Amino acid sequence: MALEQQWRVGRIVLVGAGGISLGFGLSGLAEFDLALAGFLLVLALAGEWLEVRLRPLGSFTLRPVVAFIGLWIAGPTLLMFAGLLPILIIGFLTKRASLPGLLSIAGRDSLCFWLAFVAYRGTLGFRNLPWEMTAGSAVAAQLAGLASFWIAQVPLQAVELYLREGIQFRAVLRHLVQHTWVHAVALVLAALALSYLETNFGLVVMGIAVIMLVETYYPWKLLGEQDGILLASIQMMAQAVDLKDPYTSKHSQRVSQFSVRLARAMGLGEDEVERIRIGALMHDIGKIGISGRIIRKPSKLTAEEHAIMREHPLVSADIIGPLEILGESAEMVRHHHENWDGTGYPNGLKGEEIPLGSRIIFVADALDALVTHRPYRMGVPLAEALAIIKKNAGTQFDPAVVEALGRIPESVLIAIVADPTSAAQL
Amino acid sequence: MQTISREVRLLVLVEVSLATLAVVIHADSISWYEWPQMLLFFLVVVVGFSVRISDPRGGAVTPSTVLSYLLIYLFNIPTALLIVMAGRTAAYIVSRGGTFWRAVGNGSLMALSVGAGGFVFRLLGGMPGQIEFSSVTLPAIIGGPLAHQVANNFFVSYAASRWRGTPFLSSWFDSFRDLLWPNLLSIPTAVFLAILSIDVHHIVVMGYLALLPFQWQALRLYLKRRQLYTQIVDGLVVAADVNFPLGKGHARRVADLAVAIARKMLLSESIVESVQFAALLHDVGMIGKDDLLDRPVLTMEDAENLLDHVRVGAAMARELPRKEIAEAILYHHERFDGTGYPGGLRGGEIPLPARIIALAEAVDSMAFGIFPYSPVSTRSAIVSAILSEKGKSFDPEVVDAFMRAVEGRNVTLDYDTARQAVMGRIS
Repeated sequence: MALEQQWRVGRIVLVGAGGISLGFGLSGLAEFDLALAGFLLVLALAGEWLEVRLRPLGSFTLRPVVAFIGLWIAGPTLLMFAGLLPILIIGFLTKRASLPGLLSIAGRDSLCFWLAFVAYRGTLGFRNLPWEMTAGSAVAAQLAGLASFWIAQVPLQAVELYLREGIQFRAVLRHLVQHTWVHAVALVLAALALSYLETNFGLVVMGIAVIMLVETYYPWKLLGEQDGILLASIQMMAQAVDLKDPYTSKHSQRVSQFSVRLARAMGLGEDEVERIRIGALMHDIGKIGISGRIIRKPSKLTAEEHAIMREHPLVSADIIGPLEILGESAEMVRHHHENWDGTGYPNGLKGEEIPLGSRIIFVADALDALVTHRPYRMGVPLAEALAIIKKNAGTQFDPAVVEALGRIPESVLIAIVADPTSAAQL
Repeated sequence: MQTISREVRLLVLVEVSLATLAVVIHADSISWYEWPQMLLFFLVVVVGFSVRISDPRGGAVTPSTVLSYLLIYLFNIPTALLIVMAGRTAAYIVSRGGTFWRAVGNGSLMALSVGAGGFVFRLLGGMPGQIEFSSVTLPAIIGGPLAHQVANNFFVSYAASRWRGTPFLSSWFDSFRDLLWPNLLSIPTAVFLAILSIDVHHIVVMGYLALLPFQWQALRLYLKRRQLYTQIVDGLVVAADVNFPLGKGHARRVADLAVAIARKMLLSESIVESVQFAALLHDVGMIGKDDLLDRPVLTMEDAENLLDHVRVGAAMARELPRKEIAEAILYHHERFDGTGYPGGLRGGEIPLPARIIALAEAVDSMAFGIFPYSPVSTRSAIVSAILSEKGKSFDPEVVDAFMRAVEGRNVTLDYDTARQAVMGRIS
């Protein structure tokens, strides 16, 4: 099944499960206090607006924290109300995702909230206790609720990324746990502190504290956004090089998309995938200084022109080497024309001596060169391109990378060839 | 650093004596019996005021705003004045190694601002040390900090206008506008700390200081990313400029002029930034079209290909999350009367950044004789050429702002040195 279809089915399941959980949660609608609900909604909106994006995967918001305060003060109805509505409102206002996308996020969180509620009530012993609790047993119940929310949410996010991006489930789960546990602990502490403030100082002080939390986290939101802008500007830079030759328009973006899929198919960690993504985008950046006349030349290059062209991996690596973040990809860019049997350039490295990223980018680069038109020949069909690459495994290409290429569904490759930009947002 | 003029010395002297006078006259009402708290806040102010990280939203992130508001809320005016004056002076000496004179001046300036804030806080019914958050106390809670900001901006702008010759009123207004939101957003934090400080213990403020490294970590990374982003944009600008020997530095100069015009139009900082990036990247779509410019005669197809650079550039810039940058690039060859391309948009239909860049590009192209203009060397010739196109090619309001920028000290239109440098590189 293609990724897109898989993800569509996954979304429907999530929204359905979320709807059922919401039903359970709203079963006590009678206890709804409009003023309290409105107040918590405003805070939850502020918390959801503060979406901190983590590089390269995952994000978190302060919204669940506010929602849990709602649970502790007034029960599951407010948990669902303050926990779910802001997703749709803020998502709609900031155009964060399409409506089905927002609904699936809401569905996922609805399910998690319901599980958290069950854990919370379960720890309280399902006795008919008042909602306002200050004793130690209440804190234990609160902790149980918060913990089960996180324990439910992380694997669901991992499944989502597995369905959407085709990343191996265990790899993405490990990545998410490693990168979010600090924030999860911080948010749990914040939730307990807010609960303490609410019982001892009242709602208003608790609300001010939420706003202060938003302020405190604001630089992290800025950082996450700037990461996005940075990647966008890197893509622009890559496109500027591709523009020098109308035949290679969006070449770098396609190579980058191929490389990312290859790296994930080989089970690499997401941090390495990110380095490979940037390396692939920047692999031809050294061509920026080469005259357009040589790059666009339809006939065979002279020896001198050929020598200039062969310099470009070195120039690319030298350009990005000193830059922060990009510099981490410099080595793989330097060697992206090395052959597996040691006959490539610039250093004639052989086999495992070549950085893995270079071997991946090399295959992706060749695949794109084969399937797209060039001034001197037409592109070949995808199946034929794959066959040519397979034939050169062990001489030009790393057999392991070629084998990974065989595991990527052809529909994914075709989607990337057709439109690398939207394939990136699949 | 410049030597301080006599007038600035006088100003500092006035500030110092005013602040000192205020403290001395009201020495009776200073709550000395609260000395442990005063000492605690003095130390917090020293620590809090010594650290500064420039804020992406303008100004600098220092906990000093929150701490000043906190002092307004917690202490009576003379006590707050004394703590700020002493703490800020010490912080200045610790962090910047400034002279005593400069440090005391700075401390007094801050103290007077806090004094103004405290005065308005009392005036609006606030009671220092008894803060409560309700609709009755809200005017005082917001009014005090606002007065603090007005006073602080006033002192800083006034000193800057005497020292660096910047226009006083407009810089006062600008700094007030730029800092208003960040400062308003500091109020909840200050109120929260004040309530906890009164109801729990003053030591809570130390907890606030402990939060700061957490923020700075993110800000430091953010500023690095931003710098990298600027480097990449610079790289793109160079790559686009390489195509036109005459155009070296063109994008940079257009951006400088466009920003100056945008500032004269009193646009918000985020729009000014969009104008800057769009102006830097406005010809990025020209990459790959270099051989077209070398041809002695252009066919219709070539000409269309050349005009298409606005679309190509906009398509590239669409990668950026700020959509108005791509829009500005797409429409920077539109004319105000609707005779431009690619859309033939007219008047207000053209995005404002595009209208500004169109004028800035025309000025630079005239000065350097870049296609389709022939070189116009004198300043008055450029100005009259622009004026004659007012309402035709260019938006009258943008032309007016340009004239104000030229008359003021912001823009010189003295391109001789730059032109010689470019010509020298070509020959």
